[in-house]
Amino acid sequence: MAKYIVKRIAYMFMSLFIIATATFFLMKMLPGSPLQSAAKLSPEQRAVVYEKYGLNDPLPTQYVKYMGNLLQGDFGTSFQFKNADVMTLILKKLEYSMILGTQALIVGTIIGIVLGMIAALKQNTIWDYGSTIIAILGISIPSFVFAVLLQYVFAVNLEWFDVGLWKGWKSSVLPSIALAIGPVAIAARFIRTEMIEVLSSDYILLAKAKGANGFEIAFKHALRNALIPLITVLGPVAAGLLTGSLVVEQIFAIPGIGEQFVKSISSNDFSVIMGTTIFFSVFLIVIILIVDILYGVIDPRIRLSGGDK
Amino acid sequence: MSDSTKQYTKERFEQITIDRDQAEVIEKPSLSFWQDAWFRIRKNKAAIVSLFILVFIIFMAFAGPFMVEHDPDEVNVTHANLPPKVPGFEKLGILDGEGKLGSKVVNLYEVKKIDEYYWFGTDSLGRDLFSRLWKGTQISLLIAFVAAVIDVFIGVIYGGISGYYGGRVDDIMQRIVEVLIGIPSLVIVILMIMIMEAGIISIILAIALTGWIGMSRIVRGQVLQYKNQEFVLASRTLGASNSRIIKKHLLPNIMSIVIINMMFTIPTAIFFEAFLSFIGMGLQSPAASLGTLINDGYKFIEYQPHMLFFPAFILSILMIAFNLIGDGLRDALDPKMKD
Repeated sequence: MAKYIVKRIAYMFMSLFIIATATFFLMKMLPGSPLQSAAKLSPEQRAVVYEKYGLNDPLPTQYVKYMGNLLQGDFGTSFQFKNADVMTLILKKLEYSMILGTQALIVGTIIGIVLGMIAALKQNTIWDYGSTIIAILGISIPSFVFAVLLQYVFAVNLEWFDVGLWKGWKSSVLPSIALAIGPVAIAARFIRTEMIEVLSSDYILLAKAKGANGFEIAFKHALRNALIPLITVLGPVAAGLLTGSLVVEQIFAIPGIGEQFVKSISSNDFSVIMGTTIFFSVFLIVIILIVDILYGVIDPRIRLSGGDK
Repeated sequence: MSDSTKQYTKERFEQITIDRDQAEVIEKPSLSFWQDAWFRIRKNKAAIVSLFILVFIIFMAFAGPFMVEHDPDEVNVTHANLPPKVPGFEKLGILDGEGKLGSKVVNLYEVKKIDEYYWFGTDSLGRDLFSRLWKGTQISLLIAFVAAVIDVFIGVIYGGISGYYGGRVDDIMQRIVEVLIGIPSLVIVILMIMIMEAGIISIILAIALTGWIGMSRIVRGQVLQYKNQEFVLASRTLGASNSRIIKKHLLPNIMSIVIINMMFTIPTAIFFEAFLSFIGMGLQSPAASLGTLINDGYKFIEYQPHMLFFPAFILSILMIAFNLIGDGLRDALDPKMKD
């Protein structure tokens, strides 16, 4: 197990190294500059600004400097936001994205588990079909289409919520629902398959023979075992939430990281793009690593069989 | 007992001889793999309905722009922001050209004195949304299909080489994949689009660049599983070359799993295209795709909801259809679930 973790962490750092390098050189290849639009600078001013941001150094020097700073957790300064430190900027925006993400994840997973359980326990009934349809819709319909729909119905037409303004927790309700549809669908599908498999195993039969009631079997025996593999889908779910957050935050005007990322792309703000890219990558890679390790720790069957897949 | 023995008199029995030539005769017509798969997928109602819907949408994507006299790129500012109006439906009170002007609901066609019909209305530049929608669907499908084919092509070759040759080659190739798989595809796609000029080709390349990894892993696993089986060993013993073994024995066997995965790659590509266009990194006007149409429609959501509704609806239907067909194919082709 320890060897496996060390190996995985080594790969993680290699992936991160490639991402950081690729991002850096891609940014340098970009046509246009963040300072182009920032008013008409005289040649002297331009020289001063370029000197200040270190844009005059040869590329390799810039690269080494950038990587060195990165290792110390310094993402550089933003070109657009009055020299704001990118790390501080990200951390400031993180709060909003975290609220949306965790709400969507928790609510979505719980609803998904319930739907999946109902489908498995009442297999081939109207309940099963209903929950399967919800799962298919959730997997198929992009979160931004769903988000736009929610906004149109509940904010524009019914006027229950404000359009495009962050006013505390209430503003996080609609975007969280829009983001939650993915986790709901994935969890519901997964739990249904797992539960059906678990329900037909011998120990469930034994529990039935011993006279355990349906409720006890469903929750105490079946669900607990069906839940373990659910951890494995957490990686894709996190990736989906992140992708969704880029557009959902845009639609609901949530001042989070996703919105910041899209904004910095349109304004060519190199250091913010690089910073958020690396931040997103670290976030996803670390989550997938934790999920894999956690799965090995929780389910002894995987450890014993040497982590086969 | 005695009654029943009486009934079976000797005359009722007939001596038969076993014809050894007939012992191996197969009574039922032999089904090829694909006939067998078709037989099973036919029972899956959701997949069949999806297939029909998909065929219809593909047909409309090509025929749709020719069904109305308006060109998808034709700008006509005097006809801007018209709601849908369909001949025949107007008497029913729906799709009759009524829309909001300011805060009042009026028939915009009468106000602007327009005799033509725009089935799905027009956008802010007066372009016909019916032909634009199908043109956009066509582009979205094109991007998704080409990206998926490239994914399959690279994935099968990479995974095939890695699995078939094994040893050190496999080691090195898999280490590369393990590093690449850690990189979030979304990030790469966005960065690629940023340095390339936005257009169909750059979107296809960006999507294909990240999509092949999953496919290559699946193909590698399959090749590893098949290459040591007896029929391959027998073929090798009989002197078949590597290329013959790959072409005749391995490829046909991994084909089904490749097709299943392709059915899931296509909706992912459609989604990515729409996603990129929605955040403004996709196709540039006047080119249309489902994503750009949704993006355009979103800007006018308060007054022109129809602009958003149609492309969003087609996008969702397409995604659902592909997912259901993929599910159906998986159930039909996966030998493990064969009954």
